[in-house]
Amino acid sequence: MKKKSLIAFGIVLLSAYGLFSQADPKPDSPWELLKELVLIPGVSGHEEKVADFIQARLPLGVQFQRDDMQNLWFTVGTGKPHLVFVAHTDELGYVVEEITREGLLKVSSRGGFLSSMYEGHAVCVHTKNGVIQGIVSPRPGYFQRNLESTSYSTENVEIYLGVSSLGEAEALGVAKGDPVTIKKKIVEFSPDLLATRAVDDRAGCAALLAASYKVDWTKIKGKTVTFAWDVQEETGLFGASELARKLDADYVFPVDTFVSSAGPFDSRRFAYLPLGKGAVLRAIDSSNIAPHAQLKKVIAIADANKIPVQLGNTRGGNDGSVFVPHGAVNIPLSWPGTYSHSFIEKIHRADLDALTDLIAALVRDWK
Amino acid sequence: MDKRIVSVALSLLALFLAAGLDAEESSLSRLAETLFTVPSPTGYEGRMAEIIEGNLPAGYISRQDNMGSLYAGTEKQGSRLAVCTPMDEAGYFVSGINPDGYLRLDKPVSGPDLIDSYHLGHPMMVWTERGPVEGVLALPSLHILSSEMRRELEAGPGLEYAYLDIGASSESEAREKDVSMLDAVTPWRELARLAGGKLAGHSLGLKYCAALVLDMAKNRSPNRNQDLAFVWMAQTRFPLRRSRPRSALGALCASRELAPESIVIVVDIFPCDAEIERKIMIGKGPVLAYSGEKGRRIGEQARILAQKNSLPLQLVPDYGSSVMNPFLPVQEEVIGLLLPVKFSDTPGETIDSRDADILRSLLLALLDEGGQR
Repeated sequence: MKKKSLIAFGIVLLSAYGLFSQADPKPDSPWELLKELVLIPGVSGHEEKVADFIQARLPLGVQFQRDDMQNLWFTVGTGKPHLVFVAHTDELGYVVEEITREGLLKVSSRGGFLSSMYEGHAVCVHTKNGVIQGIVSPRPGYFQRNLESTSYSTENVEIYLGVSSLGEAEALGVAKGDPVTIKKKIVEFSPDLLATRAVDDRAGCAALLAASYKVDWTKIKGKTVTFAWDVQEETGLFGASELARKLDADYVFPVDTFVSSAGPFDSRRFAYLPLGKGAVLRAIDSSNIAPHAQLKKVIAIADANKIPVQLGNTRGGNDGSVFVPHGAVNIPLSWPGTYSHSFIEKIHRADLDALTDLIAALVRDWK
Repeated sequence: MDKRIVSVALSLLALFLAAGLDAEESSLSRLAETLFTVPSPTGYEGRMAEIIEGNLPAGYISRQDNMGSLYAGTEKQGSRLAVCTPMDEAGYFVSGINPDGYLRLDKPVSGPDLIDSYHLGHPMMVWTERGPVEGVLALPSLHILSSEMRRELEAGPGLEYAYLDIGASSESEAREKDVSMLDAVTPWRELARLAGGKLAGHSLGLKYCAALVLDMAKNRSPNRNQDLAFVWMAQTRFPLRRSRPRSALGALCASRELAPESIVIVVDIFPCDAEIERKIMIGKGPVLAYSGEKGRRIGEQARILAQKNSLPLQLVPDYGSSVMNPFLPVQEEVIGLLLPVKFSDTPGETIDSRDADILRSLLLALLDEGGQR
């Protein structure tokens, strides 16, 4: 008996050692997280890898949930109000619709973007056998001078894989439904400024994940807080709609891009918020008007915590809008970003840091 | 990191990679991949010439002409047999620095209508005197885009829409990054590897041609007592004004530098899509092109050699190009040995590496015979 007890004690000790010696999943800064997150493919409907990455880095001890859609969330605390912070894991891209007899891939788009951005460029097809590369065929007559004006849309897109038959393409492992992304590149203008694909909304994902480490979750009393990473925002807020039904939110804080008109082409009549000046309260967009009283409350918390925030209106929708019919107040949080829905979405580190701090402060101080 | 250190490191890396090419089988592809990374917009071929010259075996006499074309041979004057290839690529230069820090771009050479539109919304490189600077060509945000501008963007806009963002918010910030007027600008590039040995990238065909000729020069000892010259021509995308037929300035100067009795083999690309009626395809072997009597004898020699060595060859008689044309009225014999490319002048210019390997074998066989009469 004594011997058995000793063995059991030893097992307990070893288990405890195993628990405490687990690698601390505490992630890097939101900036470093962002640089990792943007490189993970996650075309709408194919967000598993992004969710895996985030799940593996959640703070120890939180009880997360993940549904069949690949929405991922954790909830801490009890009672009212229920604050839900949500960022989307999906990105724009294509999905293979057809493989032609000539071995070319026809595609459909996931989300809104200019297909001409892809014209003539290398893309990655994410197959069951791994990533294969292809070239998006340019439009007919692309080599001409004085080309009659033409447009280029998703219907024109054909991906050349280097093969010339359906059989050869299938032998590579390509199948209908495979997602397609551009070959990504992070352009770092300086240590604090970068441009790349999928900053929308991996920056939101990074801010939320980094903020989860700035909160002492044991101190959440008299309210419920949920951090969620949802799917299929770009194709119609589908993941958010599912979460809105599941979570009884009083306040929803979607964390997503503020499309800034700070680019060289843009009219500055609205949406002109420069990069590097702080987080953004996306007061009015195409899907929501945040109540003034609630905006003032956020600004007061930001001020009390010395967090720079900007206030503005822009276009586009947000995940929080589908929570509103369920009774939630929608207060979108953002960073100013230029060149949205392109391969060079631009973001400033100071804005992402401020956004992360703002999320953590709202969790702590919102009553 | 200091940009000068990065620049020196990149150059050393390129030289190191290129210098360490011993395995014959892989030498061409490795050399091509090295040259692929070297910027050489028309009029800015200096770096490319430097890398090529640095890789020539001892014994070659090298020199450059006023265009910047590089000649390597066994004699200072004209050679009996000359292998000529372009070394310039499509590219841009800084034509203005705006007060808000955006760079404006221009190019010395026009091209297909869509050639500039591919780069909007993509990464670019500015090649300053002190090293490369990364940037992006701005693209309007989709959510706040007017329908009129959307139509223009889908139609394929030109350089009027090109605002190069290097992360500067004023002219002085741009200049602090060492950017100056007329600095070369190229697309950021990465080789794409497709199925079946196909490779794709910006100006990849021309880089492969330059690598092929360098590979020949490395393969042929200058001490073989063969009267042979290798020429990497600058400014081949730049035509002599009002020339008919269209003649590339760099090739025109090279034709003047080479002896009239020379046999000239032009190694260049063949744009399959643009010459669709000729039914030339990538993956079916290199192209033997000639124009009239000037190329008949040496062309026939090449064809027989290909047959003898079971090398597939696609034939294009009555062919002229701005690179071949200048040699035709001057040199005794002229042929083109051309690498077929798909999607020419796009960021996804595609070649079949097997075509390049066959072209290499054919060229070697031809040089072994020395273009003998």
